[in-house]
Amino acid sequence: MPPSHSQISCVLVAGSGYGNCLVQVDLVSSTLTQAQCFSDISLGNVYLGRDIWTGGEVAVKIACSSDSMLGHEYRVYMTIAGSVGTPRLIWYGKEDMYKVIVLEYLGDSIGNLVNKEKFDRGKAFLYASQMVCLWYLCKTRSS
Amino acid sequence: MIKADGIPPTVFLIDFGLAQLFCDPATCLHHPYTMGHSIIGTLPFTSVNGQQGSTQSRHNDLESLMYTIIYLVCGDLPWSYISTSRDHKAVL
Repeated sequence: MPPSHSQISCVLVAGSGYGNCLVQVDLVSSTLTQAQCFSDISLGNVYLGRDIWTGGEVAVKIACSSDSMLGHEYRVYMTIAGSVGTPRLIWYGKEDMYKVIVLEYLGDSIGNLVNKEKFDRGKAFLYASQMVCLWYLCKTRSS
Repeated sequence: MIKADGIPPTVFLIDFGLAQLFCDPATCLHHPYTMGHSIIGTLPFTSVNGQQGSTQSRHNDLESLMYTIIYLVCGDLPWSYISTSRDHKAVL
């Protein structure tokens, strides 16, 4: 079971390995963000966090530590890390009874953007060409 | 996800919880084709083979990618209205 909002109103992650990252998960905006931006993820809950050192926004994905999927996802991120179109991995680790991945905060999902406004052909082609490159990247890194 | 602060905006790939290798790293052999798997992912974007319970692999990703591109251009998928399992089977 993913943690409820009250349980993670203030999760502090003291990082190691990927630099010192201290993340505070903001209860109010996480609720908002989960509803607006992160509604279509398959596993775990994603919250909007704030890096206390830099003040920047980060995406925090949290799953129960017995769930092996987040560890698997972390390994996949490591495999494709550093390429264009892959989010910067800030921290991964276990905190209390949860596994946590901290990623760079990106923005809107494509589904949200499509719902807001219909893309013209040029924009659709721009995104489509990048998607094909990302597909190719995943295939070359997974063999 | 799209990060819009760059010019041009950059598409980012996220959510790899269900990602898997398509070949065995020890033997470099492609995973065998099997049936009877449960449907995973967002149904309208899942490949036809995937919806029929087959092992998913590279060509299924390519098919789903094409559906995504159609979604980008048209703003919707022609089959996204399907909600009941009977309709779903009829379309397949």
